[in-house]
Amino acid sequence: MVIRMNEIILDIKDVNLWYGEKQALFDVSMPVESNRITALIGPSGCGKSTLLRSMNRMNDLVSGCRIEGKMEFRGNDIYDPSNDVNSIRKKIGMIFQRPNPFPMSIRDNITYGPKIHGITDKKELNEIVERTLQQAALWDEVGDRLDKSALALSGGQQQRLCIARALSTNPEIILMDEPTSALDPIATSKIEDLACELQKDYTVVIVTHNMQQASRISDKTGFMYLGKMIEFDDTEKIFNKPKEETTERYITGRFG
Amino acid sequence: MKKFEEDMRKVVNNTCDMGSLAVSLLKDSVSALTDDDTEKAQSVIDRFDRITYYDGLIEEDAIRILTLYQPTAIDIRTLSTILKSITYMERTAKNCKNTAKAELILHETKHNQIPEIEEMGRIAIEMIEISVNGFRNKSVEGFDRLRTLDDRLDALRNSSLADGVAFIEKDPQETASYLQSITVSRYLERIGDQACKIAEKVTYMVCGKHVEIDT
Repeated sequence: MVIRMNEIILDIKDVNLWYGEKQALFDVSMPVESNRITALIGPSGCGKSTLLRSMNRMNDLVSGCRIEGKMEFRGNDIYDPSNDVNSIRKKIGMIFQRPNPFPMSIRDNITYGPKIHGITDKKELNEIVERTLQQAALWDEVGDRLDKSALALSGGQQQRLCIARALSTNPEIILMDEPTSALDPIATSKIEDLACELQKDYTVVIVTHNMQQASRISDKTGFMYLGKMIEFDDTEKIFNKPKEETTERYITGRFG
Repeated sequence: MKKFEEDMRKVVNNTCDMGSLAVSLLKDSVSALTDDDTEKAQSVIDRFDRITYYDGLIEEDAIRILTLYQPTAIDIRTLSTILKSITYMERTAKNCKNTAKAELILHETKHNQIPEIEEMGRIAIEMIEISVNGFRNKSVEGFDRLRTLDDRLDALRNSSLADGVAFIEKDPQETASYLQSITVSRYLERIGDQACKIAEKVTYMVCGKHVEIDT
């Protein structure tokens, strides 16, 4: 399989990150290509979620968190103090481990973001609701009950609603932090199909503990260990013939 | 993980055993032919069933491991090498069985033999040993010799054909006997190809690269 190189939409170079005194990331570099699925794998505590959260400045919310290095989104430094955090998160959305819909209707969950960003036209909002639910493969299931509570949906539907909500602000990158770990295999498969579908229009970075998931859906995989990016390459190479022995031991389950 | 390691060890060991058996059948079929030893030839024919048994057992075990553990990296390369190599080993053993059968037929004749057969037997044995040892030791040592050996085997096969035809023209009464010998040269030539194919798979297992040895 030959993977063509796409434009680098998010360029991570020599990133170091500390939580107080404790360093969590060490000189991490990773080019995120546009319209690709990039997976981050590694044992618990290796820094993959920390790295993911630093991609849209979620770590700003953690007190004592300090970051050094370069993280450029389309050539623009994400950590430049003059950048508005909200506009970064509008372009780089995030899906979490547990579905976290707002305790409001399906429709309001989706229009929440666009309204904050100043969209008030009802027709435009309705269009966003339908488009994003279609994109999240949820329209056929909930299109006729948009004013019902989002909390009444199943776990898998809630997670797809969260994806639809993330899409409502027209992001370019979707970050997914173990998005299927709380879901059953059928719901998991739907989210995986969705991630593959989304890469036509968006860039996806996914953190997963499920190595088969990484190998099934991603184009590029980064293996992290003890806060370092041990190896980053085409997914097929990582899972077939990794260069590093540590990667080989981890993905073949001979770790520790 | 322990169970996975155990299952992998078992399938790898069985493949090594199958390879050793194929080597042993080849050595015995060649010496049965050159020494006109029908007892040995019969033993080759009888032991072929064991190859069929390994072929089925290993394939089943490998598929079970793929299904249950979804292996990656060196493990998936090893299993794909095993699944291909057992077919080449089975074909090698089948050629040995046919060589042994040819010996039983030749024994009933004047046991005329084309002179190339002896060297062809030695080369085929060396080639299969290199490949099977490569799998056992997870090493490509000696593989660089395979192409030269295979070329020599092919050349001998061609000259054995020409010689065989000449012998038949000279002594038409012995046509059946020389035809058997010509056929054996074909079996040995095929074994050389199968040794190359096994080595190609072992190279993939060890280095992760697809190479072509049998050209």
